[in-house]
Amino acid sequence: MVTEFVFATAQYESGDWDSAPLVGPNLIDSLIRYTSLRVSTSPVTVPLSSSDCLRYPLLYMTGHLPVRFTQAERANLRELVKRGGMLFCDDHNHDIDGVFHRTATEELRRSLGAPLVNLPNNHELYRTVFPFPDGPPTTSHELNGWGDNLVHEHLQAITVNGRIAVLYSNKDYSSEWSYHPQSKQFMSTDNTRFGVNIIVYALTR
Amino acid sequence: MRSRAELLLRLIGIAAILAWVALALVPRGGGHAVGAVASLGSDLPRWTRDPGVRTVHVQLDTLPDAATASWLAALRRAGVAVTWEGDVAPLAVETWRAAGPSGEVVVLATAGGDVVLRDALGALDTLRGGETSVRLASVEGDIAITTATQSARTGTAPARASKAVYVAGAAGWEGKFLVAALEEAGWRVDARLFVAPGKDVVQGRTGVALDTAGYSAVILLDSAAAEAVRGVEGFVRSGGGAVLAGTASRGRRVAPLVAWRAGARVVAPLGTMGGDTAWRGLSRVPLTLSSAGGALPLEVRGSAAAVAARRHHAGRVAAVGYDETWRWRMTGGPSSVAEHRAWWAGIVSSVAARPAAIGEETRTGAAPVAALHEILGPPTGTAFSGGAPFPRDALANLLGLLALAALLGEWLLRRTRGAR
Amino acid sequence: MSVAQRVQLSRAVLSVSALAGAVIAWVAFAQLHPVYGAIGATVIVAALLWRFRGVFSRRSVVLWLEERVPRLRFALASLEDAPNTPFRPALEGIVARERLSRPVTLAALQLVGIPLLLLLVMQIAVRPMVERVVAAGDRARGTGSHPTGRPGAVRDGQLEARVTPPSYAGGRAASLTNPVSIAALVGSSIRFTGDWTESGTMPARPVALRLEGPRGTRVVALEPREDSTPRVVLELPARDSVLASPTGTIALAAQARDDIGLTAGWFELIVSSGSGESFTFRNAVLGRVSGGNARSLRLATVLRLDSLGLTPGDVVHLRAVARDANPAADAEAGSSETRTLRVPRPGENDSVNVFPAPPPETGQSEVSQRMLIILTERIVARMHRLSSDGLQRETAPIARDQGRLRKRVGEIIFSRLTGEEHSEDDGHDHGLAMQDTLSPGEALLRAADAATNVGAGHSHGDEGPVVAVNRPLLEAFNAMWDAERELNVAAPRRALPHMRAALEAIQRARAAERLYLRGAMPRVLIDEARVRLAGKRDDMDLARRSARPSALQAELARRARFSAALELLHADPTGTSDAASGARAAVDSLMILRVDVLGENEALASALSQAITDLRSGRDATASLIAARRALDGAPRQGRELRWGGGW
Repeated sequence: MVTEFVFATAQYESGDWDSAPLVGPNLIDSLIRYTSLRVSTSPVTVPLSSSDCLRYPLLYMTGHLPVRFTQAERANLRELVKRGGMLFCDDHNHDIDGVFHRTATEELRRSLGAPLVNLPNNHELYRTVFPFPDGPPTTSHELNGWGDNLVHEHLQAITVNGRIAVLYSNKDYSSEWSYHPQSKQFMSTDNTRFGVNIIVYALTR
Repeated sequence: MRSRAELLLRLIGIAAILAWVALALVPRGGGHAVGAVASLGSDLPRWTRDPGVRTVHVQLDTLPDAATASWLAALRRAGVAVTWEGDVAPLAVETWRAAGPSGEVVVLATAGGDVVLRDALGALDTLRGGETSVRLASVEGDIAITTATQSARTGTAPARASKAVYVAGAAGWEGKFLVAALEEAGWRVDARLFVAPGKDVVQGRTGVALDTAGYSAVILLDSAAAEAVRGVEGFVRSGGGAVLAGTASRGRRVAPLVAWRAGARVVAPLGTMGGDTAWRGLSRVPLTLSSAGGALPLEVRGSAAAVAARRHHAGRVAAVGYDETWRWRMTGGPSSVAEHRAWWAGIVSSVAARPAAIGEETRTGAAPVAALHEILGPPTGTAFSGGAPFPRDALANLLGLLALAALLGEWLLRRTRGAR
Repeated sequence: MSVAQRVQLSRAVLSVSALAGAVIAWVAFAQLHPVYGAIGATVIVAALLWRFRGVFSRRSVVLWLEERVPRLRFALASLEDAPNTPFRPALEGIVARERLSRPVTLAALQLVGIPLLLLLVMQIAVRPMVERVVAAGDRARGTGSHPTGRPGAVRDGQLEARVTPPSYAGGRAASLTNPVSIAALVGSSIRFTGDWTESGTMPARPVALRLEGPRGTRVVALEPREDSTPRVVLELPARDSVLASPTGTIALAAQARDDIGLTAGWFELIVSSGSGESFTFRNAVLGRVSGGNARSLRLATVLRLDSLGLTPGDVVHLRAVARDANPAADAEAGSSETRTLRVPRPGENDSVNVFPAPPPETGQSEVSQRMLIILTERIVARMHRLSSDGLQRETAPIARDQGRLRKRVGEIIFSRLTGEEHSEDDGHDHGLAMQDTLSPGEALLRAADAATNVGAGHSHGDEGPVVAVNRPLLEAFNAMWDAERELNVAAPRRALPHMRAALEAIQRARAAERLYLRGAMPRVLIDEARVRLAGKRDDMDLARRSARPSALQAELARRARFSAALELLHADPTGTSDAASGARAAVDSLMILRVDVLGENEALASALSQAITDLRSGRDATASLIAARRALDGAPRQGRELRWGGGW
């Protein structure tokens, strides 16, 4: 029997970690739609300051406000990465000059001792399940000029031994995926498929 | 003029010298020779040259080395009746190379008491009495186990390149971390992880049949894998290894390999830590072994086995009831990543095809007591009827020392009183 | 031969015999043990020589002869004492008649013979006994059968190293003699002199430096020491706080420490204002002080909350920061934990509650206003080719979409005005704004009036806060209504200006508040049975997983290097120049291994360092090599094994 996948959102102390509560249910719905993986239909929230976060080898993190990790949060993040887990961090501001981006990237570098670097757009992440030949899919917020009014060409990552340990996005997938899953029926192309790629990558690499 | 004390000492000295000479001149009685291990180095050549020696009795408080034992055997074959006595505890050592990329050396030692495990560089560990085994990452030269009085020694087989491991099952944390652990341990892994109907994440060779030329072992993570992967039974029958994890034992295709029933999944009670090795995760599938089938329980939890193993023709099968070992790795203690890796690597190497053992010529000395019995037969009591054997050489040494002491003492007494 | 000559000869024979006996006795005792035997032999021989020192004295020899030859009747002693005595001829005659050689010969034989006898006894009896005892002790102790590193195997050459720290760190230069390794700050300058000459700077990573010189190759490990980031502890405020009223002052205090010296410290603030998805941020620096290169620095200041202009909902993130003098581009400032000060909102329900929708996309249903304009413009471009029915068919869907978008905007406005949640079928009276029969402008203004008591004829400049905030949306709503009406009558050309006005109003509203057309959602329940594998999977093409490299290969390489070094040492640890070069090669190999594991396995690095030092000093390195092997391989793992190779 295979353990079911549980979508977990990391709760950190310094900011609005709960700014995208619909992302979890939406991606859970997508996983069930496209795969035969066992998935828990209820997402969970887990404090990054608690070692309980290690029970969820894939953590999702987002927000608008400054990110300042506590000692416990840094330690748990290091353990998560060291043991083979993965963090997906998305800037809900979509603004590379913004406070979330500056502080989150600084905290990630401090915690893990390595900087975020651009992920090549031919990385296997973009072919894990669905193909994205041009790299990370553009979000409507980028197209509509939100935030810094830029379309960010790359995602960023910290890799460990050839495996993505931290995936960082400025493309505001948190906004892109913040809708009720039932609305997918009205969409010609499901824009959460890239989220399926991220989750299956974490489950298999 | 000598004093009485001086005269007495001189008489004692002269008497001791004369007795020493007499002892040296009188032939050893009746062609019988007695010796101890310490003096065999000088006694054996003498006994060999002396045609009058017809019986030899050796006191072995420690075991002689292989060359000495062989010499005694040669004396016996030459017609000399060789008997021995001694209370030497049995000692034996055996080594083999664990299958797998790490090339670990497994040492199995049997001893009556504590022994020191050593190699050419020096001491490695102390093993308690009884049968114990250790795994060594590397070895210099021969392996030996030693006590204060004896040692057993054997060589080690050279390491060989290992083949790949095939892993199949539903994509998930258990598969992800198992593959990661095996790769970290140096195994080459081919994998097939099921994501959607007809859609799998694969690694390594695809479409290749399971065979012992390419694979050392196959790991099936669940019943779906057991149904999907073909040729497992034939692979094991021809010498490969299989690990059936979780519910994989329920698969129809692997039924011939299985001598146990996989029961309903049991979940750890609330409050159990993920790193609790009693659970190795937080759930397991209990294995109820059938009485006929030759399965061995390797880990027992509660009333059922959690890990079991059996032979199937030329191969080996292990069943692992734990289905969430990834929790042990993720939420266990500081060393849980290494422990999880070592545990899985150990299971895979235990079923994987093993390189050939070392040749007989390098095993000499591995079981010295047994070898001694084989050469000289079982020990007997003293060769004389009644009484302790005559410690001839010790007496000679004693007489020599007595003579020296007496003469020196006499001279000192004279000098101290000013006489010449 | 005169009497004097006879005495002299006797003395010489006795002296030489005594010395020879002493040498033989020394050898007899010294052979028992290389160290303790030599010491014991020296002591015993010294005692014996002292006891028999008389043989070296002329007078003692004369008296001894008198004692041994009583018939001399002290004639010899008299001649010795009074050589000019008138009775000299008579005394010489007495001496000449006696044979002095006999006692001298006997004494000489005893002086040499007894030590010889002692040597024989030691060789035959005592030494074998001692060797057996020592061998038994060696077995019990487990002394390796391969002693390594006999004296002098690798001792050669003189190397001096002078290490000067980087200028920013201060500190004096240090000198090292024959260093095995050099640990210093990254950027320190190193100068080698002696039999090898080289200079350079400490790199950022450990490296095994090969020095070539006339005395061959010498390997020295360079171990960089990182300039550590300053450690900062924020003492005040002691914990996160919620400020009931954002006025007054808060004391700030922090302590910073550095291994070399601090240049500055300060407090850093980020003030976040806003909610939902619309935020603004302000940065500030307080209480900056110069560190003066001190290793410790106290920061203290007062934060005046009034100066921050905080409003309900604002969050202040506060931390202390300190920087050291490290000029490296990637040198980081040290920072403390962050304290969060929050100003609570009067109400908790401050989120925009609408039925959430996905972001606009081209397609059948919800399209953005921009896309509606594009579609309408395309119709206008083709109008001359379309019949009236065709035009009606083309514009009707756009009208419907415009209507949906308008209702969305209306819901937002309604919620903001009334503070109530809304959904279409919740049975509530959603106000006149939702009624299609009323003019939207009138309806909305009436709703606004009802909510805020703002009169319908209120001018722009005196608008209340609620209407002012929503004015762009109100304008968008009105424009969409007009556009929808025109599209419903198949007049796309007349609809376009209204549509563009609506877009411009939405953009103004977004610029003002970063408003997203969605909001908080009640709990989502997923019907797994209905949804499972319902998605389109035609284009799924799963990428292959690529194998991850293993650290085992590096470990095996290290073990192989270690074994090879042992082979070189075991080949012949004593004597020949080939063995010496083999031992040097072994030391170099161990040095390279040590550098390889620095930072990863400190226990192994330390044990290898000890082994290298022992080998270079000519000491037995067996114990340190065993410790190094233990650190390299880990402790042997004991556990159950099955005879058929199974084990865990």
